[in-house]
Amino acid sequence: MDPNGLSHSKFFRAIAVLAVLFALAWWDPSPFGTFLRGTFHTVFLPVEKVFASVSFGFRDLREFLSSIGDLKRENERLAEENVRLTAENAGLAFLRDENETLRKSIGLEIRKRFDLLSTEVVASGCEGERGFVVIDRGSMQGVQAGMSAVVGEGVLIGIVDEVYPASARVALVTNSESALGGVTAGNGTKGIVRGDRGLGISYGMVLQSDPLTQGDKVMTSGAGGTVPSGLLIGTVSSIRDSGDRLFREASILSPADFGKLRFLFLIRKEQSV
Amino acid sequence: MSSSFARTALVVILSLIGASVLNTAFSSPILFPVMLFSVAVSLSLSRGFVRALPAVVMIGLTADVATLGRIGLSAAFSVGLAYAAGFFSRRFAVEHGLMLHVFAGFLVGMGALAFLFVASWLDGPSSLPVVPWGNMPEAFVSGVVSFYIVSVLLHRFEEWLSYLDSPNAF
Repeated sequence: MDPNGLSHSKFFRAIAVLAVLFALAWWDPSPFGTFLRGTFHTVFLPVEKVFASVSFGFRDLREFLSSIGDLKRENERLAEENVRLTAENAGLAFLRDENETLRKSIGLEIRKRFDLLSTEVVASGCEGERGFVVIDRGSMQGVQAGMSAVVGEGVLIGIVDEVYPASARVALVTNSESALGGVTAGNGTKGIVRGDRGLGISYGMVLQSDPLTQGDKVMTSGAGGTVPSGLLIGTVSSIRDSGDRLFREASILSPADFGKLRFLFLIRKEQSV
Repeated sequence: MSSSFARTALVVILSLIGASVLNTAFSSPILFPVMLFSVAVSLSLSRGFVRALPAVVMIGLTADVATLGRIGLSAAFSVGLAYAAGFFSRRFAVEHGLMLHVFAGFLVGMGALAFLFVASWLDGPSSLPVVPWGNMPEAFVSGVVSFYIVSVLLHRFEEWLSYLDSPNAF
């Protein structure tokens, strides 16, 4: 065969395959993708669990080893802090008891307020601006699309967007495609919570006349009915005007570390208080 | 038959390693694309682009499914890099030795950065995508290291497969 002909044949073959694949990526067919992801993550869930377990163990070991050098300094700092905190603790004991009583009386404890389903992360994808994790519970365990995923004492992490038989995909709140209603605790300033390039969370569409200050806690407003109200999203860290100066927007700092998610709770339903 | 099964298993295991190990244990988004593209480039350089093409497409598509990405994007980048590897290695005469690893590592690293940029661009209509310039040294180093490891392992794997295919096996 003519070497030039072979070379051209290779080139055109590469171009043809590339065109088909880029068209597929651009189109991003949802039912087709859901079916393939569902099949894959259902069939290989046991293997994913083993791999994820090993990788979490490795991550913990790596973090432990990297922290050894800081232990001495950390120990000295903690000793000083311990003295200070002991003094503070006496004063706070009274306030703590009062706070505990109030929390219980209004039903803010997450486990009492919601019927939760515990899940473990078995895979994650961090391609581009989209943040997703795969959890080890699916439709067979009663998982439904739209369920909220939380960690700790009710910190919203994301929303289930695809459900497979034995697993499900959770779109993180840092995902650029996620948007939900938010409200600040205390002053009730409403806005829209959006993922920011898969790296952070922004709080936008806040009216210029509404109060918004650094340190405000942003909670879910419950607008739309999918996500329950009162789940913590994060704390306002910096505030700026929107591009058109009609609104204000802020960056939100979540107390959760999205790079280290392992155990998540899905909210099945709200308990009657 | 057994070599086909082994190849398919390798493709699946690579994808599972990406989704459940690299993306979970490390916070860097660049490691899995680097590993995936190292496999594509290594296959293309060892078997030739045309012979490697079906495997490269299959690995890319499986990786897209496993890592929850846009189906076709990793595969498209894998094919592009596999072709570029063959084309440029002949043009620059870097088909052997250390220079091959440096060249392939550079190609893989830059491909991974471009992949992250394009993925951001496809997913972020609301804002301009971020060019991950800060990841360039990491991409280059991890590209060189990953390509070296992957090419050695793939070479061993191919040797093992040829043993499986031989009439004396088992």
